[in-house]
Amino acid sequence: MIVRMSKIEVAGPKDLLRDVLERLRGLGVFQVDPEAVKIKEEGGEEHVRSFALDEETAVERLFLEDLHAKIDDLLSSLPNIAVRESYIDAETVVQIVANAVPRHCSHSHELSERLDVLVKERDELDRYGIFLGAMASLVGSARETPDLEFIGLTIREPDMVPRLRDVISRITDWKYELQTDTADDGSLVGLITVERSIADRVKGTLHDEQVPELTFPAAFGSMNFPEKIAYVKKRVLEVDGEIATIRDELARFAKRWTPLYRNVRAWIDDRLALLRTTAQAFETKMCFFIHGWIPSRDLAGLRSSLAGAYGQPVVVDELEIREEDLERVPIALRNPAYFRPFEILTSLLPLPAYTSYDPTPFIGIFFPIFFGIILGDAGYGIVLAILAFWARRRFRTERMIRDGATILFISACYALLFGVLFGEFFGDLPERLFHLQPLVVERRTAIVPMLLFSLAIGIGHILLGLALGAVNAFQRNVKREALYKLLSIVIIFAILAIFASQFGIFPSVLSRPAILLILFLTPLLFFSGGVLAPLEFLKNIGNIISYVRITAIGLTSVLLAFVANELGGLTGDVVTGVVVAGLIHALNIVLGVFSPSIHSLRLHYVEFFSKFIEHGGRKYEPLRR
Amino acid sequence: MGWEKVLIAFSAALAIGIPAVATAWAQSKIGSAGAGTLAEKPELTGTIIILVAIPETMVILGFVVATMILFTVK
Amino acid sequence: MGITDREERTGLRGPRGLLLQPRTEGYPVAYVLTRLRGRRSRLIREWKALIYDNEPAEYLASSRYDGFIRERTADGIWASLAREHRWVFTRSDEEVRSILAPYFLYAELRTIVIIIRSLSGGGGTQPGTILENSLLNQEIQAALKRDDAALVVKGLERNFSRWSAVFTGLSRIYGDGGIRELERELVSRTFSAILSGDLHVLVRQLFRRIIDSRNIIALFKSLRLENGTLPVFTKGGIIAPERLRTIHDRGDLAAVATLVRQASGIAISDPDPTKVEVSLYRGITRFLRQEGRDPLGIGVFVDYLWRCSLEVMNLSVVLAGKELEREAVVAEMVS
Repeated sequence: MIVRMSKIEVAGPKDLLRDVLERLRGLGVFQVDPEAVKIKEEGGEEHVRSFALDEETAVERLFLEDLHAKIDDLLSSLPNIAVRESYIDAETVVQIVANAVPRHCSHSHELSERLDVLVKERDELDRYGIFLGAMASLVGSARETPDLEFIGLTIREPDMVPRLRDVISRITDWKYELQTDTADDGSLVGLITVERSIADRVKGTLHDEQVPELTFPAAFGSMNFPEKIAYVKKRVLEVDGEIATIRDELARFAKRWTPLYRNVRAWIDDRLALLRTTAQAFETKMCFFIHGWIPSRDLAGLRSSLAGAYGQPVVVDELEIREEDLERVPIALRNPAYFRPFEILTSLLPLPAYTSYDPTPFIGIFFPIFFGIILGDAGYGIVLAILAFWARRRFRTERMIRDGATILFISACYALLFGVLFGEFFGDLPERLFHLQPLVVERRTAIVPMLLFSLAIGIGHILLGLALGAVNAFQRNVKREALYKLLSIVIIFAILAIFASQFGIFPSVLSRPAILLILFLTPLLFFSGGVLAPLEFLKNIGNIISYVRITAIGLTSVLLAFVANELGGLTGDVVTGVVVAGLIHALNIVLGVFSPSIHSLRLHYVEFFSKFIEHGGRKYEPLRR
Repeated sequence: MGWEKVLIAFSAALAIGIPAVATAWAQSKIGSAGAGTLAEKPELTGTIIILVAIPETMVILGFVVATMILFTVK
Repeated sequence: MGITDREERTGLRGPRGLLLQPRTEGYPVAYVLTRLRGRRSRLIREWKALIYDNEPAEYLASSRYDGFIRERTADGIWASLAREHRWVFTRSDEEVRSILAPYFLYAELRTIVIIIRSLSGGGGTQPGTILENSLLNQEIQAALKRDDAALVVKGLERNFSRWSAVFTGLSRIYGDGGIRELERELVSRTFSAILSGDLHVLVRQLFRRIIDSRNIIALFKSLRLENGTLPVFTKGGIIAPERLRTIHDRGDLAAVATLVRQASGIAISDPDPTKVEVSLYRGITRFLRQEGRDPLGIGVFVDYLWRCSLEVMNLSVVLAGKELEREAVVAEMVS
């Protein structure tokens, strides 16, 4: 149900505003809405204005916002580790925290920066390590002499090698050696050995050919290859050590301070929220006004709470909800315990308008029934009910799963019920094993009756939707829409009569007056629904036919179960038969959760709700602590 | 057993098969567009589910026609 | 070797060959289109409100702004645009990528020019940071990372020549005429190479309009300065360079208004610098808005990319114009 709301005005002496707001937040039922009143229309605008913050409050707000940003900055530079909670009263330590933040910030930033530098160096060392590793084998075969120079390369494309040989041999007059090897990471590295005197020319050429020469940082100095390798290994150890030290330091720091900062930040959030709300109040010379919404049944509680605390000076007035307010009324849904889990299905839709219906009870009633008819197997119903029961207990604290499991449980019960009616228990097992006949109908063979049955459901559902839509339109005083919906209902009945007389259920003379009735009503349809009204009306017919899916999806489930039993029977051996059939039944159960849910949801969202629910409500978001 | 029966079965297969392909095609398009919308505006989940579900009516109609062919044409 | 091999391997030809080959194949067009529409809805619409109401830089940082620009500095805004281009590029499928490749390449010319400028002027933007989100392919990026302007130009020439022969001789131009000459030639040759290729009809139209706008603005500037030197007009626009030349020879400042109206469909009473530029860009926006209606076509892509570039242009004006009269800043907003 959509909760009934009252529009109220809370007024009192100005100096009580902060206190009153604090109390309202504590109650957690009042939603501030400064636009709920149009003061200008009442001609009092010269006396009433938006509540202006006094200087002290403005300074406080700036201070807190600044502190909040600083704490955010600090916390984002610290590692996110699990920490205990702090129970220090934040209000008393805010000033101390504000003094400490800059120091802590620069400390943690310094640490993070040093860490970044080290991590970068570590990456580079890795690269050198890979390169040198591949190089070691190459260098081993080349003699190390002072007049030779080694040039390391990383070669991006293997096809480069012949071309490089070609170019370098031209410059060096064939006095060079180029060896290549694949490094650990799969890239190709090369080593050119040339006389020192022409090394620079070779390097220049490589530059032009865009083959990057691997240069080592200055720290490597004039070391030879074995020394470089040893150096890299040593340095990796050192850097790893330093990284670990800094990480420890950061973690220690975070462990020590994060709880306090989180606590203070939460307090600031709270405080700022309060300060921001004051800006939504109005003031005259002496008084403040706050306007907003409250669920009607909480009004008495609010009144007594405020009266108890302040007595006479603070007044709560209930205002009249005008027609233009209807769009502004916040929407809260409150349903009896049985329907509450189904709110997760309505939450997928936009909120209904205040004057419309809460879709939850309708889903709560029809969704499990449709699900049951589609699945319609007692065996599957039992399995799913047990599963749902288990999931409900296992995830008691997680609302989504718990509600989902509850819905599944209810739906599974209906599946069990319809399974009994259809005589299905893991498919046609009852008939196969005990020659039991279905109580009502056998879905596998009685396709046409089932089609008609689902059509009948569709007709009922759509007519209900149209009727609710008509009632709602009357209440909202939109006569044309109401008329259109009523006409649609009458025409659907007329069409039904025509079909019934065609198939001999009604006397066939009835079809002529029915046709005449439709012809007579069509102009009215144009009048009430506009030029496209007949087209819109045809959509109703399409919607009704859409309910055939109840039979169609059900049929696939029945046939899969039938196939499972048939295959199981074909094996001729009890154990294999049960395994084979069990596997297929398991698959069918998984499908049996998804497709019936999706299709019966769709029948609600698309076919049913479009007939009577108006969307577009604002969410109810009361002031809360 | 004549050609007639084969033809009836074949027509029924076509009646459900073609709409099934069409539905799949439409849903693939709507689905990928819907995924894009969800990435930008998660609050539209319900609307997207509805939009993705709409073309299914085609295959349901196909199913109705197919059953009518199988059970009423004799 | 190099890009030629790669071209044969991946089959990327034309301007597409000069751009990156991302690892992903992109997403279905319908998906990208809806995402683009969502993102387009978050571009700033109320420029006036932004300028009059707040400190614009703060607005960008606040939670009210949900667009693609994440930084508040002048360079940061352009980096955001590059990131957004990259976002669109990597999410598009290969077909869309090659259709849009000319536009992305055109946008990347700015990257190239900035790098060469900073090399010849010494210092400035670090190539590394500006190339971070560049869409140019690895070979060109490697060429741009060299520390000598002449070598960079040489690398560019080699890479661009594989796409079109018009780029041969870039190094010589740089040697003879320096950076200004090079910039002009690079841009105009890119335009002619783009227009001589196979183009999507909308992309071709867009480029013709961009060329027109550039030509008219160049003509207008030259006329106002009254320095007599004839600007070099880029060929390929709707308005023939000959006509521009005649107007220039006559020194007919009033004729510019006619040109603007013809190119953009917007009538301006007296040509003044901001009005000419703003009207020309508005003309393109209007054109794209009309052509971009086709809900499943390339129009949405082009329109979005164009709007993003406008957002960046406008914001640079806003941020640079902090000290200016607000009226003057408003006059420069293109929407």
